[in-house]
Amino acid sequence: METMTELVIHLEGGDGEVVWWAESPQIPGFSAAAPTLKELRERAYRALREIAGPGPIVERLSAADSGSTVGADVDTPGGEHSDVRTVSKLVAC
Amino acid sequence: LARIHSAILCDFAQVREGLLFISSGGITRAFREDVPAPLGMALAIVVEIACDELELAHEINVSIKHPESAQVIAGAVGGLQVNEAATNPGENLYVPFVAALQGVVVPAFGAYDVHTAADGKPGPDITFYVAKRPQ
Repeated sequence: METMTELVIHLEGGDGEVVWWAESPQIPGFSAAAPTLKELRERAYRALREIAGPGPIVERLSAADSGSTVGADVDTPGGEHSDVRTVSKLVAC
Repeated sequence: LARIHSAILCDFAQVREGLLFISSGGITRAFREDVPAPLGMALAIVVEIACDELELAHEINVSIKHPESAQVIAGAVGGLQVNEAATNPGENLYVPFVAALQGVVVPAFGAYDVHTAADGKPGPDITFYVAKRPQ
């Protein structure tokens, strides 16, 4: 039976650079990092496929880093209900 | 992929209950007594997320470049993810996002370019000018 693997994604940084990194609660000790989300996804998915097999991978953006969770069952500009999580970092060069 | 649907420089912006509030938007000039000086602006963005990528995390990039010196003076990196959306089949989602740039310091008078991107795909660019305050 295929098991679902969560990929919890973090954004950290400041002072000129940021880093995206990820962990998985199902795989203690696992982490991956990259300068962009795209590269992080490629690395993490490749590693998780080797470790956890072909089961589904579910991404979850961590809001614990700095950001805010905006909206919960609220109206978006499209008039529909949505719950959107955001994080952001300002990088001073 | 996500894409930047629209972007506007403004005095202040915030996202509340999923809606984007913009105060004094459409800035193209910033008058300052002297430089370096705080930018004192925000960038209000609307991101369009394709219906088949609502469950994925997305990256938003903003950078401010001084074209005369080719210097990137500041950047902002953000992430967003739609946890739940009651969209219709095939409907893309429009998500507001604010890059708070008030604390960015502009080093010189002149033109600056604001570059935006979502998931590495370039979005709208905005040019603004920092000028000496008229006497």
